[in-house]
Amino acid sequence: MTYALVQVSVALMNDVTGRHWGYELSKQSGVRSGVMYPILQRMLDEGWLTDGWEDQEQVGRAKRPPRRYYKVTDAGRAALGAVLVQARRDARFRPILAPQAAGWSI
Amino acid sequence: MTGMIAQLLAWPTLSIALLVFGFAPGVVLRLIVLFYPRGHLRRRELLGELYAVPRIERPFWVVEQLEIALFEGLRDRARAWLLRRKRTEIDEQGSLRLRISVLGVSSLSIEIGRPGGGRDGAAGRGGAGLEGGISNPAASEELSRE
Repeated sequence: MTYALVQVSVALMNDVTGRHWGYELSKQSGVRSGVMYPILQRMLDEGWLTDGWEDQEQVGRAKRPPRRYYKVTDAGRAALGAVLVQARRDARFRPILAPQAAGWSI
Repeated sequence: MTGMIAQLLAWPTLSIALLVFGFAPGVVLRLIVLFYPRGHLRRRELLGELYAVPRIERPFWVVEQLEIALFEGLRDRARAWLLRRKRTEIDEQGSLRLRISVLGVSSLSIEIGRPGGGRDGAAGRGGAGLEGGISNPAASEELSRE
């Protein structure tokens, strides 16, 4: 388990039902995109996340290409929860986990 | 006079600022995504994300994407190339089988797609070896000529 994985898991679990966008997720988690995208890809491969593309209507108004979003699946919720439970036992991750710990619904 | 100097200095500065924060990130990112194989989702994703990044951060964000594109993109390209090469080999072996059957050879079988049964190893390692005898001597000669 890496620091980046825990940080991304925290960011995803902070809004477990919402859509997550690459750049925003990178900002929330504090993980550089060079590290975050491979983590997201692994999560997609594991079935923890699903992905999709922004609605064409929204994009048309903003005059920009559609963005890809990520959503946590039910399996992902359980798996990410397990990651965070495991991380909580590890002293290395306490600084990341302490402030948000109360807000998660695993 | 000083005002004019200041103006001269200001124009290049403004042009560079426009280039670095306005024009260049999009162009450079479009070049960077070419590292990914055609149809790779990251190509579209990164171009979409660019406009979500604040203008001031864009140049740095784009350079960061170069790092990941070099590793992820080139790796996926290499994989796609290997897959294409394997497929071509299988096609070549398939066409060999077709040619043999046209010559009217019976009791002949060729293994296709066996791991390690490449172009060079076909005869030596038995990757695409012949099993059984060739009943038609004329066909045998034709094959050995090829």
